[in-house]
Amino acid sequence: MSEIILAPNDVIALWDHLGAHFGGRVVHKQDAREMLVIARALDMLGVLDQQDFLDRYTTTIWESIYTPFVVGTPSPRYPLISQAIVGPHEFQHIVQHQRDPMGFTPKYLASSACRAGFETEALGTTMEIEWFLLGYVTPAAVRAKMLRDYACSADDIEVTRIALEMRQQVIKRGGVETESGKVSIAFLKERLGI
Amino acid sequence: MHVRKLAILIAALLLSGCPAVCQTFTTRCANDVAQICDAHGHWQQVMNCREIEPGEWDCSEGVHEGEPRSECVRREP
Repeated sequence: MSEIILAPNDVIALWDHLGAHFGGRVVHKQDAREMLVIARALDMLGVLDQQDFLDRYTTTIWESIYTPFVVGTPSPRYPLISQAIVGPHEFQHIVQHQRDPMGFTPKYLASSACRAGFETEALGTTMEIEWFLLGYVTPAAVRAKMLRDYACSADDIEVTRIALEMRQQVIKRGGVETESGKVSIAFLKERLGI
Repeated sequence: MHVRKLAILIAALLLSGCPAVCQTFTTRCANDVAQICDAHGHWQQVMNCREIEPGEWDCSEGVHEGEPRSECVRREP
C-alpha cells in the first residue's frame, strides 16, 4: 500500500466536509482569546508551557476545534498529511459530545478512565485514517503513551494500549468503526477517485 | 425527612462509587460489543462489531500472545 498524496485543497475540503456533516467550528488557536487564557492558566499551574499548548496541541472544547495551524497551510509541525489525520480525530470528539451533551465534558475532565476511553475511541479514528492514507498504523503502545500528556494513570494507559490493539486488528483487515473515520474515508475515496 | 434521606443516599452513592465487577485488563464479548475491564473494574466498550464497515463482523473470543482476547472478526462470506 503506498502513501496517498494530498493537496492543500483536499485537506481544506475534508475539514469543510466534516464540519458540514457533524457541525462544529474550527478556530485558529492564536486567534482565540479563550485559548490564550487557558494557555496562561496551564503555564501558571505548571501543567504545560504556554507556547507548547498554543503551538503543538489541537484542542476541542464542546463543538469548537482550536488548531495550532491554518487548515490547508502546511507547517513543519503540521504537514498536510498530519492535518488530514488530526481533523477526523477532533471531529470524533464532537461526535462524543453530541452523544452525551451534558455528560461528555464533566466525565472527560473528572475521570482519568473516562478520558482514556474517549481518547481511545478518537485514537481509533486516527488509526483508521492513518491506515487509509499511509498504509500503516503507529504501534498501540506508542499511541497509548501519548495519554501521559492527558494526566491518565498508568493502568488507564495500559487499558488504552490493549483497546487500541483490539482496534488495530480490525483496521488492518480493512474495517472502520468510528463515525468520523467512516465519513472521512468515504469522502476521501470519492474526492481522490480511489 | 424523606428529602434528607434521599440526599444522604445520593451523597453516599456518589462518594462510594460503583463496586468493581471485573478484573482490570480482561476483555469480553457482550453480544456484539467488544469490551475491556478498565482500571476501576468496570466494563468499558471498545468497539461495536456490528458498526464496522465494510462487511459483517462478530465479536469473538480469541487468543493474543497467549492471553485470552475478545475481538471483532469479519464473518466469512
